[in-house]
Amino acid sequence: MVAGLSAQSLVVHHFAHWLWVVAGAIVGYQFRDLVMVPGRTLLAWAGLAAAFAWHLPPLLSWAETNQAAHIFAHATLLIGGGAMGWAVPQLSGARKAALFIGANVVMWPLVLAELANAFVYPSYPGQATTAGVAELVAMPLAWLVLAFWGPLRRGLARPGATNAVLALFAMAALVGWVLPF
Amino acid sequence: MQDRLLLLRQLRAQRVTRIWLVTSGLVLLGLALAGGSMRLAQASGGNLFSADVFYEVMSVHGSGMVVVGLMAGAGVLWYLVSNEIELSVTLNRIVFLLTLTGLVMIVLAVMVFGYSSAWTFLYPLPEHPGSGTATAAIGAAGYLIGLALAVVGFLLWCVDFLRAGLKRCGSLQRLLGFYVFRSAGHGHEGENDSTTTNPSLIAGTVCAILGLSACVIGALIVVLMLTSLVFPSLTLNALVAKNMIYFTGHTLANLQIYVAAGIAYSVLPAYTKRPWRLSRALVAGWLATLAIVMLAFFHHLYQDFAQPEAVQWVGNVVSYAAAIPPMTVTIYGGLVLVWRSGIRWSAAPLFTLMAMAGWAIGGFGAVIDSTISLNQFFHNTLWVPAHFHTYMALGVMFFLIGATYHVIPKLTGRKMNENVGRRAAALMGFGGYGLVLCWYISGSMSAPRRYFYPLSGTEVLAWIAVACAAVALTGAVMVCKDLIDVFLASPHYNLPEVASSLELAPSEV
Repeated sequence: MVAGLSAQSLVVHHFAHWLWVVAGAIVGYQFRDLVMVPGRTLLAWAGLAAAFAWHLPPLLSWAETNQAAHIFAHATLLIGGGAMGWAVPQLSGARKAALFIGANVVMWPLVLAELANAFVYPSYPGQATTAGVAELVAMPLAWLVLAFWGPLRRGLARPGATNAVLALFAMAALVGWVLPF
Repeated sequence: MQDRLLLLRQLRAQRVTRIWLVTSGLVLLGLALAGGSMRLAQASGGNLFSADVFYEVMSVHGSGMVVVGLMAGAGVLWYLVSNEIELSVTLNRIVFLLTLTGLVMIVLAVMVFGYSSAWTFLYPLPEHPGSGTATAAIGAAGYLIGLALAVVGFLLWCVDFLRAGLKRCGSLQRLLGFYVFRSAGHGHEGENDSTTTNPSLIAGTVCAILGLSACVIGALIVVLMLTSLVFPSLTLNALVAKNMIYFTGHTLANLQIYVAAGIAYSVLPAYTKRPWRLSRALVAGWLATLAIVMLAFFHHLYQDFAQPEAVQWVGNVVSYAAAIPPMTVTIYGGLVLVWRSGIRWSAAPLFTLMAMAGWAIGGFGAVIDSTISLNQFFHNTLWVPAHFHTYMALGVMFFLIGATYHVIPKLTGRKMNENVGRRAAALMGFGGYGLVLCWYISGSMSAPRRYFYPLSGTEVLAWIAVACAAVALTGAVMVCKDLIDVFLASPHYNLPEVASSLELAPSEV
C-alpha cells in the first residue's frame, strides 16, 4: 500500500523515507547503552546526512531506476536512523542542539528550490512544489516536538505506548513493504 | 586573580560596546540623512540630484539600515546579557570589523562603481542594471562581497550566542525555557538556578537560530551570484534566487525587532522595578515566533504566479499569526510591567514604550498588506515603506535609543541629558509619524515606491513628508550630539567601585 502510494506521490515517498529513519532510530535507541564505541557525534551527523541525501533529485532518481540502489537507499536510511537513535541520547546538550539546528538550516535550501520547481524528480513530474509545501509544514512541527519532548518522552516511556508504536511500525512494514513483494 | 580576569573581561566588553554604539549612532544618522535627501529629491521633482544618484542613495540607505540596525541591536543585546552568559569579546570585535568592512564595501560599490539595484539585488539585475554602467559587474561584486561580510559577521554572532547560552543552560530546551511547560507553577521556580534562562536569553536564542538559517541561505545565494558574475555562462534559476534572497532579507530585517525585544526585556524592568518574569505565555510566544518568522517571507511573493498557490496561503496565514506573539507577550507584557509601577518617564523607558507603539502600529500596517486581496493594491506602493519605517524607524531605532540611554551610565559613568532625550523623543515621534502617515496616505492612493518622481496628486504629501522628516532628523541629531558629548567627556572605562583597588594597564584592556 505504502509502496504503491510512494510510486504515485513524492510527498508519500519522502514520508516513507522518514518512517525508515524513525524505525531505525527506535532500534538504535535500544542499543544506546549496550554498544559503547567512540565517535557518536560523527555518526549522528553521518546518520543525518544519509537521511537527507536520498531526497536530492539525482540520488532519488538513481534509486528509482536501479533496484540495487533502491535497496541500498533503504538500508542507509534504516542504518542512518539507527545511528542517530544510538548516538543522539548520549550527546551533550550543545551537540544535540547543533544537530537539530543544523538539520533545520539544511532543510531551507531544499525547500526553497522545491517550491520554485527548480528540483526535477523525473518519476514525479510537477510534484516538487507539493513536497516543498509539506516540508514547510513539517519544520514548525519539529520545533513543537522539541518543545514538548519531555511530556512526549514520558508518554512513550510507558510500556503500553512503546509496544503500540512498535506494533504500528511492524504492521506498517508488513502491509507497506513485505506484502507487495 | 579571578576577580582581575572578570574585571578585564568587563572592561573589554565595555570598550567594544562603546565602539559599537558610537559607530552605529553616527552611521545610522548618516543613513537617515541620506534617506531624507532622497525624499527631498523626490518632492523637488528631480531637481536636487539625478535619478542615477537617487537609486544609489536608495541602495545605500536600505542596505545600510538593515545591516547596521540589526548589528547595532545585536551589539547592545550582547552587552546586556554578557554578564549572564560567557560571550566572546574577541569574537564580538571580529563581528564589528566584518560589519564595518562590509558596510564600507557596500558604500564603495555604490558610490564609486555605481551599484544601484537596491538591497534586494534580485538576480540578474545587479550584473545587468540596464543603465549601461560600465562598472556594473565590479559594483555588483563589491556590493555582494560587502553584504556577505556583514552576513558572516551576524552568523558568527549567532554561533557565539548559542554556544554561550548552551554552556549556561546545558540544552536547547532549557535555553529556550521549555521547562516551564512541565513545572507545576509558571516557571518561576528555581529562578536563582544558574542553569535557568530568562526572557532576554530566549529572545537572543530565537534570533540566533533564525539568523543562522537566514545567514546560511544568504551566504549561499551571494556565492552563487558571485560565481555567475565570474562565469556568465552559469545562469541561476531566477525564482530560486528570489526565494533565497527574500528568505534571507525578510528574516534578517524582521529579526531587528526581535533582537530589540530582547533588549527591552533587560531595559524596562530597571525602570519599573519589577522583573520581566519567565512565563508559559512568553515561552510559547517565542516558540511560535521561531516557527512563524521563517515562513512569513512568502508575503513578499504574492505576485509571483509561478509559486505554488499553497505557499501564498502559508504566507497569508503565517503573517497574520506573526502578529499574535509580540502583541500578547512583549507589548502586553511591557504594558503590564509599566501599569501602576510608579515609573519615572526618563528617556530610556520613554523611547522603549514609544518603540512598542511603533512595533504595534507598523506591524498592523504589515498585516493589512499581507492580506492577499489587499496586497493587489498595496504591493510596491508607498504603503510598504510606510509600514516598515513605522516599526523600524519608530520601533527598532527607538528601542536602540532607549537602550543607549540605559547603558551609557554603565559604560561611561556619566548620564546622557534627560531633557534632550525627552525633547528628541517628542520631535522624532511627531516628525516620524507625520512622515509615515504621508506615505500611508500616498500608498493608499497607489503611489509607487522606489519612484524618482511623486505620483501626480501626491506632491503636497511628498513635501509634508520632507518637512516631517526634517523634524524627526533634528531629534536624531540632538541624540547623536549628546551621545558624542558624553563619550568625549567621559573616561575611557567605567571602573566598578569594588574593583578600583585592582591595577590595570590600559594596554591590557
